[in-house]
Amino acid sequence: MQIKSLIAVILFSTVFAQPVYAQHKDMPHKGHGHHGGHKKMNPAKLDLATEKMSAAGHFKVAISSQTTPVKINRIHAWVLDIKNHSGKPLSDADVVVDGGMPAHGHGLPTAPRVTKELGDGKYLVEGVRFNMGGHWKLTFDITSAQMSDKVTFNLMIN
Amino acid sequence: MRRAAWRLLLAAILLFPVAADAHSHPPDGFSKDEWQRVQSLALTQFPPLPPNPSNKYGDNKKAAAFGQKMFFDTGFSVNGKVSCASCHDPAKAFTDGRVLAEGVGTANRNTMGLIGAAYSPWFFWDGRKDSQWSQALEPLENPVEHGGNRLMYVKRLVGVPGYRRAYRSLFGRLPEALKNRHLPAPKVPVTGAAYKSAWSGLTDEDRKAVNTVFANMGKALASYQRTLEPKRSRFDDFADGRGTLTEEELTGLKIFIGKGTCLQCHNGPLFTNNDFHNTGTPESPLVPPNRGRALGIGQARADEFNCWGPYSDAPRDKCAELNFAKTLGPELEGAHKTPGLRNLSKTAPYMHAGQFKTLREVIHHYNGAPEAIVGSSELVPLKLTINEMAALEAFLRVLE
Repeated sequence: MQIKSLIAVILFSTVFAQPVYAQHKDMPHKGHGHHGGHKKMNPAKLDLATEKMSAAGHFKVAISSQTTPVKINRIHAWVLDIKNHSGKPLSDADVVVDGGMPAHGHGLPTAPRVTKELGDGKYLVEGVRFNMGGHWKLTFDITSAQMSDKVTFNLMIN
Repeated sequence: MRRAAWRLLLAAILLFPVAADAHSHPPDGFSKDEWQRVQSLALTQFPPLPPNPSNKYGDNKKAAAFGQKMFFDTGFSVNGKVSCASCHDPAKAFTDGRVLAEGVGTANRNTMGLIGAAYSPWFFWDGRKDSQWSQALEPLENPVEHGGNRLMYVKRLVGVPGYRRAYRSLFGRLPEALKNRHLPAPKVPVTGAAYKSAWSGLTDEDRKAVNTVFANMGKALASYQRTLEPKRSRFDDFADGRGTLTEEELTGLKIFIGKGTCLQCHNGPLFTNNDFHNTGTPESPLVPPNRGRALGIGQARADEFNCWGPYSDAPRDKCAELNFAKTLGPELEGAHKTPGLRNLSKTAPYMHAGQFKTLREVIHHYNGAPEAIVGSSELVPLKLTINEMAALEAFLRVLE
């Protein structure tokens, strides 16, 4: 009797605990985890666009995280997509990554960098980790054979 | 079996809605956003252990059992009196209740707890180690902790039949260089002349053999420590809708997730981001001020037992934290690791040099946010009232 109850509890945990675990795996996943499914706060009405022109208008830049939703305390990678002002993918660019939390006056906790040019104007940025929730900035200094420009993205991390 | 299946169905019907309900609907007094912050701290958010690619034995049960035996064995010390558990006492959440750790002598740091430590990418207060197995090796050779040296430890491991068998069944045959050989093993600290001359007298092959066995000891010790996970606390029961907190504890919880700004660093179900911050802790009367992470990261990069080194099981591209660690910057000066906050009543005194005896002193420090003695403090004064500070303390005590 007791053994059967135990089996039932174990079976129950296996069946129902599984989807909960699945949400926390370090892999990209869709759906609504406890951290990511809801609307993010944006009290300061920040520009949260993930695609924009660089400061002097030389490049059109888009960023996307390889892990969604982005979770604090997990090292992860982003893809940077760079086009020149006429919309052509930019190859052979030098990119310097920086960022931080403007409200706290500190930089990024890690030193992310471009590790691979993926082709078609795309660059892999590895080593990003956010160590607290809130407003973060990611800045990319982009230098092509012809020109240099800078672009800054605002992120609200939960 | 059929009855078991019915029970499963019944259990699912009875239990599942309760758990689901607690997550989606905040209780009275909590906004949706506040409740989401509460949930982010609960054990239900506890993720599976992150893999440690530099230790392929990390999740091996035999390695954990072997590591557990060594953890409690005072034989791995220069005087036969110190084990890992001498400072990491399970009854005190794997700390020792002392201001500074005491082994053969007195160390210059407060003992860190081990529960949930396997979730951290960095070890020690200054993060000078990048894995739990590599961390485990340092106290063994610290002259004021276990006080001995790797030659001594490897000789003992090989000499105790139980250990030798456990070693072989896990890691395979002992390196050829150690078989039928009597390597010197002076019972002195690594700083001792007898050790230095013994070590320098070995061939490269002998040294590599000793280091391999020594590293594997660390891997088994780490494997045991990976099993140390936090237990449910009153806070977790509350977050799951299965328990209640007092008015004062609830006030403290709201301060913790709100104007106390504690959540900035003490986040996630272990109440730590496992990163390094300068919180302007006062000078200790016992140990000199230090640069913390600013020095620790350089040591981690130079460590022969790091993720990049010859004793690591990981290819270099799997050493993400080490590959992308910040090595320069004002944030590293005087920065120390954020400790977790579960089991606080068992882990006093607090801070890297045990500067504070009580939680009250800790909270007063954060409230006042004094200037740092090394680098600059990230704290800003919280302006909490006496009652609010008492409420915050009451909340912190429910995390066990």
